[in-house]
Amino acid sequence: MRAAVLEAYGEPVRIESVPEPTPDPHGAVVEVEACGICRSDWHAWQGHGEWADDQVERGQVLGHEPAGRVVAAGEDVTRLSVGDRVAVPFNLGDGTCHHCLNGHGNVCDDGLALGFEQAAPGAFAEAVHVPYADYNAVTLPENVHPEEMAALGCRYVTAFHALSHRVDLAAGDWVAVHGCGGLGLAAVQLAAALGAGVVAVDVRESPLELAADLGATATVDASTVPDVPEAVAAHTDGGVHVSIDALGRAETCRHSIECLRTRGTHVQLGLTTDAERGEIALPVDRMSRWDISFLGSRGMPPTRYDELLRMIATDRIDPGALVTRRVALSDVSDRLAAMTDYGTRGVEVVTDFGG
Amino acid sequence: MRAVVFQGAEEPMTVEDVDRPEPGDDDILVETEACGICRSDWHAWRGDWEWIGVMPQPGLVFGHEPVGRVVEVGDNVDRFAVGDRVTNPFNLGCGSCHHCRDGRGNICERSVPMGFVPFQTGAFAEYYSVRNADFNAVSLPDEVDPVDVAGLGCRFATAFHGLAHRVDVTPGDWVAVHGCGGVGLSAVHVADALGANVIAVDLSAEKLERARDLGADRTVEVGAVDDVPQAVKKFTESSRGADVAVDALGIAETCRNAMDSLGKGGQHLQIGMTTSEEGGEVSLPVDTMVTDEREFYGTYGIPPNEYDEIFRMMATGKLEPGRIVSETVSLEEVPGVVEGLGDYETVGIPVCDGF
Ligand SMILES: [Zn+2]
Ligand SMILES: [Zn+2]
Ligand SMILES: [Zn+2]
Ligand SMILES: [Zn+2]
Repeated sequence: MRAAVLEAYGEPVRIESVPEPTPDPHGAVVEVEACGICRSDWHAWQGHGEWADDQVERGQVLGHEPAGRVVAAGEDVTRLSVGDRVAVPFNLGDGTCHHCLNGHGNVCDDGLALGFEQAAPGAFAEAVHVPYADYNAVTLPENVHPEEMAALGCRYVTAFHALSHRVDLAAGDWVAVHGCGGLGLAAVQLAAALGAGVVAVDVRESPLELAADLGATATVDASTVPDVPEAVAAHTDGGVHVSIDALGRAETCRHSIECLRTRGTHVQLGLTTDAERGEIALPVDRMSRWDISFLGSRGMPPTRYDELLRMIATDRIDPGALVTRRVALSDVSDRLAAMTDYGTRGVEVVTDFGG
Repeated sequence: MRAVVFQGAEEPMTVEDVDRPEPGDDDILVETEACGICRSDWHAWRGDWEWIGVMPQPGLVFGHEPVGRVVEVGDNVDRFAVGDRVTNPFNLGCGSCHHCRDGRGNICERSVPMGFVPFQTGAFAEYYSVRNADFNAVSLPDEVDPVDVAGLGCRFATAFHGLAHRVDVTPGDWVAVHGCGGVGLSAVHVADALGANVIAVDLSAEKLERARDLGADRTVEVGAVDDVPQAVKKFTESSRGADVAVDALGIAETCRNAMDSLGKGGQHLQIGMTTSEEGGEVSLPVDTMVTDEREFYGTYGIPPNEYDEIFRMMATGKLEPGRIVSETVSLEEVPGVVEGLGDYETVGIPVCDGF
């Protein structure tokens, strides 16, 4: 089958012919109908993460936002049948460790990261293997478009878990979202759906326009204001209740913490670049003095997708509205390159695996 | 094997020779070392709880606070081996429904209460089986004494789950425990270990004495005051009321007293189930609950995955379930002890350890 393989950091990603997966006894093989292209793919392609012993090895099939149909299931799989349409979280749990058993499979002790390690080849391919499929695969309703569900593997659900489960968001709270890539735009749409007022922050006009369409109450163009936290505070009566760094740069992280009101909560979603190498100096005294909380948040437990799917079913949220471009497998390399200078907008999805 | 056999509501139970349970592929067979004698056994013997579907038939073996050594392991069981010392919550989960997968197996869609149904007999017997053992059974630390931890199947664990996971007990909160039977004394001890200020309430001076030993800071002897809720409130600042109140008995009077002893924003925790007098229904002051923003929480058993928290607190001496145990008896004495629970004279948890 055809697959996009990382052969050298920063060099074009090649389309190669690789063996089709066969299911482990607990696994399932999914024919990929759509797979989003995420900034984490770009980080992997750049060779980031070596500072945390987390660099993706060469030879990896990338791609971690798949939606598709089950074409084969192992003998121990009971909850899935061939033909089922599924989404797959990038954070794959074993379903049996302490965290999985407590409903926190997104931080499984023995988890795999789909498309980032050899044991879990990714979904920029005609088919992908899902380990512990009973636990990890999420059955989708028949009437959804797979390309609209592609971000359910990573960006959309990461924003959902952060806003629904990690912070205590109350209706009428102000939420700031720093960085309006796919993840940030998902956070904008979700925060608005959960009853918050939303301030979207970016340095580019076009994603800010998209953010306004998706429900942002106000936008701040960080390239045109002298002081971003002050500009956010001006829209929100002195600061926000919850602020999200959806990008992962020192600047967006600091802005996010500094635009909080007293007792506010910062949520870190974006992972850093090789400029920060995983470390950002934070204003800890100020955070102590004003009861500021800092929460990290990763992916979403597979066991809580039903909440999101109910909101999609009642049209309260629409992940498809973030999708701006459909591309072929052979375009993956170019679209990753376009992320280097932030040249993409919204969520781009691979839908043509033959081209 | 020898077992205590139910002969019908309020008929004397007898010790008889019965067949050993046959463990299925997912089950383990355990040789009983200890089993607590619980008020629930008395309720079932009396024929209470028809309204929640508990209708024990003659021939049933009771006993749902078991500790023992594994003697047989089904083909599909991975987590246990012959010789392991185990306990389990009385609430046995399927391991695969939404709640089990989400860390809340105590409210499993297909929950099976051990020792109350013919297909999952209890541990007032030389042997008992545990269904879906990988999910339900819990390994005990080697050094524990089986008699000390017999209450972990029901009373002690239920008190722990309720106080640690259902309500928000923070250090210094006033926690009022109404009813100081086995579950109430467990609640006193757990609340004390969690850093709360504990007010114990009971009719019996002897039980209140025991509650003081276990960490109660204040006591209210019901027969000695005109107004129990006021007597509880008087211990709190400006008589504003308790932060958390536990009904650890389950009669209309303790339930109302617990609710009425709360302050604004207080949380009522219902652990005890009612008698045939109430038939599962107690009238509650809903308008006051609205205007005071009081909360009412039901709590049921414990998910198996929360036991490690108890074990960690036992390892550091913060919890000592053995201190609630009042006496040990033999299988022959079990019928008399169960039948005698109706006069509320037992202080603490009686445990059968002679099979
Ligand atoms: Zn796990
Ligand atoms: Zn991603
Ligand atoms: Zn279940
Ligand atoms: Zn019990």
